[in-house]
Amino acid sequence: MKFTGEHAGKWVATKGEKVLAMGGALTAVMKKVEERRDKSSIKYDLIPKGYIAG
Amino acid sequence: MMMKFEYCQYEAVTGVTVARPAIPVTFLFGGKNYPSGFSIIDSGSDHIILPAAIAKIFNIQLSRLEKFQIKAANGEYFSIHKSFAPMELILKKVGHVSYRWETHVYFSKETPCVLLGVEGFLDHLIVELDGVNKYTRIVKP
Repeated sequence: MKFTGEHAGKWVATKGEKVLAMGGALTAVMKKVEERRDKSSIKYDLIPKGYIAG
Repeated sequence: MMMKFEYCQYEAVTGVTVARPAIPVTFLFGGKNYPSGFSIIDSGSDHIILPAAIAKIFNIQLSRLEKFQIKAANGEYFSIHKSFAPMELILKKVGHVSYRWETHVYFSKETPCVLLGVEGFLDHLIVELDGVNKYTRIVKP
């Protein structure tokens, strides 16, 4: 999977290698895909912006 | 049985991509679940840390959780909130038997993503990071 700069700092809903929805709030992103029949196979992630260190 | 996952690619700054070890972990608590596709493995984190927004999925109020301060790599401190009970974590891959275990997790408004740290993740599984070929291999002990 590859996330580009447009995803950085955003919540995304993905299925496999495809980004289905994105936005600034997790709940809003989940709402965008809630009517999909394949909802149970969708994953959600906050994509880091820039470099990170732990 | 071993599970193998390809690293995930992130464009950190324009034109520069960083490959990070990220795996699909589903978090379950109180009959609700949060399926993450790309939780990042972070040996520099002592705990599993989830963005605060995920707490809402589980109807958890951060203000009711025990709070700690932890030091970030830049020397600054930020707050984490410990789940009041263990969550169930599931690691799945098609064609493999799922790994399931329970552990406390922490929530933070500061974390840039889901971080899988030492307590509850790296101390539960055998994790091999192949940075040359950009694969993570995971074995349940």
